[in-house]
Amino acid sequence: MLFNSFEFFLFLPLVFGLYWFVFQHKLRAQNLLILLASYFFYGWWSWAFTGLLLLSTLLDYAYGFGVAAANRRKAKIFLWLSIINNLGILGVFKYYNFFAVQFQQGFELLGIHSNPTLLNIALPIGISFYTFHGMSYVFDIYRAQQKPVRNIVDYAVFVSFFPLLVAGPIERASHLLPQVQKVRSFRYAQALDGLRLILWGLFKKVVIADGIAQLIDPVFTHYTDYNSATLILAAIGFSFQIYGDFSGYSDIALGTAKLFGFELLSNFRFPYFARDIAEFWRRWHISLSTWFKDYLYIPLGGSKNGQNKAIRNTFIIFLVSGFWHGASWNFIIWGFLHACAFLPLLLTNRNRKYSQEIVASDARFPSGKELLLMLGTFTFVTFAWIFFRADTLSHATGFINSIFLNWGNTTGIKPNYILFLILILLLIDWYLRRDERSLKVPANRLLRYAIYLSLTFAILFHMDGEQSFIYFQF
Amino acid sequence: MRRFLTKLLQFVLLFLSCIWLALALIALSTNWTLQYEYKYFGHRTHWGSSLERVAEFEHWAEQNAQQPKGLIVGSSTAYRNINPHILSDQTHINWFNYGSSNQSPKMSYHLLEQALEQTHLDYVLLDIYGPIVNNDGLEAAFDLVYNSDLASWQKTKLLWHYPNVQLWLRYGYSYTKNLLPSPTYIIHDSTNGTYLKKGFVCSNQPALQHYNKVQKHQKAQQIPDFPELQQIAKLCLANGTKLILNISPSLDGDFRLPSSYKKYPLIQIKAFHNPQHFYDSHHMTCEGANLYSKRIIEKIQKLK
Repeated sequence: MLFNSFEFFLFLPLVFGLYWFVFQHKLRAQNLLILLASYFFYGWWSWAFTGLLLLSTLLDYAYGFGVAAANRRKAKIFLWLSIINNLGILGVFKYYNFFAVQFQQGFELLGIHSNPTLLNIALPIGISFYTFHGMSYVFDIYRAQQKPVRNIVDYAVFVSFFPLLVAGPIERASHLLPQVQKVRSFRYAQALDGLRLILWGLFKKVVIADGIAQLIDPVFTHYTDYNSATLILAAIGFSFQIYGDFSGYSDIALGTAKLFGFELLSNFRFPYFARDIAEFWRRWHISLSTWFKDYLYIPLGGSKNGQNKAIRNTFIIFLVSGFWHGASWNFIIWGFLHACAFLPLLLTNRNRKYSQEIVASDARFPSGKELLLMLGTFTFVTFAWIFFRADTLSHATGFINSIFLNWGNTTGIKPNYILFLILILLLIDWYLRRDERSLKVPANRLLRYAIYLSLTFAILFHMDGEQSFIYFQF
Repeated sequence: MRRFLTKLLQFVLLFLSCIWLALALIALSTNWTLQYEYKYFGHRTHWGSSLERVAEFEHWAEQNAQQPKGLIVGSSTAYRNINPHILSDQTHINWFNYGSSNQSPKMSYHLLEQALEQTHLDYVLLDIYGPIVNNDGLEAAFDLVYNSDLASWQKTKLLWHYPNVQLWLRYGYSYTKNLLPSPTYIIHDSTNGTYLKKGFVCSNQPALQHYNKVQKHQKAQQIPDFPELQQIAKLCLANGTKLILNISPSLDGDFRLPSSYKKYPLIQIKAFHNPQHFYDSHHMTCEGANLYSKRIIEKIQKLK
């Protein structure tokens, strides 16, 4: 079920009504309702894969007790079982075909012909997210940061809570589980915040991201037909499409969770105002980058064990992050490019330079230097997005080549009001940039309602079919 | 909670009032300019739309109770390529073409369901143009809701089958427009064809002179499985109607149905690939349509 679908608009009020009117103050019943609703939400897409979700949940729940054992050797075995189990699921469903083809091509180079069997199965939606939930839970127990949960419903809610089930944010057991286990009461301000976030998220997704997609998809598909300026515009357009799409999704997820009394982790903090790539990664898909930092980079030694290891670990984390997004070379190159941009900052010890405050936190406008730094970071990020957007590596290189070669071509796209909306998005983000979690709204009631109504109008007028979210494919 | 729900309800009511106001303003603006109506809700036309077809169908459904009736459903390849007048003259079956632009099998099913509630049909000829089975049929639903005189309950039923905001807005708009002094504009454009009644549109476009010739060895493209066909077949069976499938020809190469669908009577006129009978890859000129209709008659007679 998509957040921008008709079914969800029926599903959400129904679950909300049952949750607060029928089961209010009954924690167990509320959690059970959320669990059933989450499986229904997931099953709407594929009932068959709810079995996989259930299996993954049961295994990690069981491993949690094994990892909590006093015997460290035994605990380690269960930790590895959890890792193998989760990566195994990912390996079969997401990476098997990629590796089979790579091995086949490798053997072809050696003159050995092989014909590997490829799996013809759909990638289960959200698989990369719920397996990471499970792994983080087991890791946290192993590191004594979390105790195993006795109540399986509580644990299953943590893994499959429907707002975050298919595209995150990737939650931590230590953050979400206490909320699952605590009696929740309805808070007016929180629910209102939730509705605002849902509205803003839908606007970013339906109006901006889907609007841009309509404009630039043909350009990416038939890039050889278009002139260089249009290709550059399409690349910039994609930067805003993916931002609108994914941050829109995250806003809807955060907002929906608020309606049920939960606070999820932030996933975005105005990433296009970042002044360098290190700051960008502290602001883009935060729940994934911190996951990799905590469960991969730091266990590998981080930057503490000498320069060589720091370089190695940086490349590992970015390449794995790229590969996490998809089993394709273009995602790996995307990760590699980010590693190359991050490394000089790490080696010169400037990777934490902008770790605290957002740009121009005490001013209305950025300084000239800050503006240049933001533009430089955005340009690099946009260039790297070409690899992310392309279907294959040759598609990406072909697109980039065409940027340099197609100056003489006269075919372009007609800029439409979507470009104006991107500007509006940037201005609103700039206005909101100091307040990262809840949306700041004007105090004037008339103005406030005018904004709500305009956003709702715009969403309804642009809801043309149900466009899936980009991150659902991961 | 009470405060929250009250606010929410207030907002929903305010929003609905504003929507209605916006629809009313657009409807009233057609007194001066068609621009906004045209932009947001399309326009009423004679070609390919249900503007006249639905009203005419209702009249057709009521008459000729004694004569066998046949209904043609499908997308633009149905209403542009199959001439019901020729079919009626030579098969002694009274045919009516209920095709409409981008009418997907899902939409054909709904139309058929409604048609069978109004009259008994002896035959249904379902015209299938390969790519249409992947179409959601929304364009046809827009057309029916906004352009046609379909009964209110039938339009409302469509809204339930197509939960789409754009469709709801068109629905709201068509009623708002009827309530207000808002003139009805019907766009006449002879280049899009002449409506010859019984749902048939005769094209006025010039025939193609050249087109990539379909090679004899070229493999026909497989039409993906579409569950609506089973539903249509079931509906026809329940109403004592004989279902005949017709695969529409295309200059880009022929289409073929999945083998599991071979149980249904099928018309497929192969090698109908003369570019001079088409004005684009799959729509025929009037002359082409007449010739094609005669070929269909031969096939129907063989099936009988």
